[in-house]
Amino acid sequence: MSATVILETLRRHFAHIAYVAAGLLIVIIAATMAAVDAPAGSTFQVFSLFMIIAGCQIIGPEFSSGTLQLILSKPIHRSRYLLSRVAGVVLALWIAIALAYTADVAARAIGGHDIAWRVGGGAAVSIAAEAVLLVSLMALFGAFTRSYMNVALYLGGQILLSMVAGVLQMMQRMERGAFSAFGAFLRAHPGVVNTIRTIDQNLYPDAPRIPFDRNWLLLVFSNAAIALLLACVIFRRREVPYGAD
Amino acid sequence: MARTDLWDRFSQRALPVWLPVAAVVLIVARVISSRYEVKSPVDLVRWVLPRAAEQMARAAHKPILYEFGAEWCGPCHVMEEEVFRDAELAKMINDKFVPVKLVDTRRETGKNLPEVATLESRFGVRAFPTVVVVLQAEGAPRTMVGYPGKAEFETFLRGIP
Repeated sequence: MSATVILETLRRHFAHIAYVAAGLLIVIIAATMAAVDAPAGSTFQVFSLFMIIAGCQIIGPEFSSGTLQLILSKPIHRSRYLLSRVAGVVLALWIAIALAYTADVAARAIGGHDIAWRVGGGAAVSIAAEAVLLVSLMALFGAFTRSYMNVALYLGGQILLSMVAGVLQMMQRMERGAFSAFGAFLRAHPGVVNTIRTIDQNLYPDAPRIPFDRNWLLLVFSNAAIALLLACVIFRRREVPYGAD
Repeated sequence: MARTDLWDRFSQRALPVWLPVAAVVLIVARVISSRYEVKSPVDLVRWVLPRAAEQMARAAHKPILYEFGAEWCGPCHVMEEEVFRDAELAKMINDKFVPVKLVDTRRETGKNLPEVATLESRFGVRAFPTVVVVLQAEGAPRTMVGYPGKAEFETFLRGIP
């Protein structure tokens, strides 16, 4: 990986008013929630949107603006560049998570509330792992699209998968009416619904049931590694257009 | 010049060897690890089966505390960690109530156990976690929807006669 690209990615985040404002807002929310003794780890529920906004800028916008063509005219490994950008964004997110967790612990300590180290720490580790998966998926979706299409694919996939799984589950229970035959088919072949639910859980995993769940962490990291590998394979073959869109 | 250019072009598009190796190692670790389920710590609350609860409550003159949750529900697990695995709160629940835990499985299996379905319908449970306390004396059950944090939950429990 390239330290220059990682540091430049970090610099871009820290110099961006939106990142600083969002980071401050998250720290304030964390401290406020902890001061009123909200359940441990609940601070991190606000992180999803922040992670999507930070992750969406990985590669797609650079295609569209023409920046990538300029960068790749230099002798730099494409995969190394992509992975370094991913590492930079993940580091920027981890710093925000660490700040939010510190604010949470400090506010609880000042307010005289219990600091649930296991639950809070587990939630922080889970969201840090989720950040790796989300940014890797953004890199994968950005490797074959332009502009901010990676966000559209990410959010569209999330909505579609949960909607399809929900509708199929509903139909599975239908024993009468227009969809009874399809319901019977789904009951006879539960693998259909299970497959969709498994894909959904692999791409958009729910928070783990148990703090520091080893199996959950391995699921997230292995899926992130696969996404990054696919992103590199696609990105190395991709033709980079001249100029901006 | 042409040779350097070619080499650079090849080099620029090369895949890092460590990435597929890391992916394979993680997948193998995941497959092996998934054979050994991570066990959650045991609750300190002595849960009672729903069918035995009413009889026990009548005999002990205690209210019944129903806890409705689901596997996928994050706040339910936070409540388990902070309340049901806390020695002091668990002791209070064991002493003061007949505790019943009910897990909704509609999302996983498409249906609930009959006693879970009946109790959810009886108390109008629409969200998780929901805690319902049914008093021995006449009066409406006390309900708490969602998990507001350890301190507020403790206040709710202590407020029940």
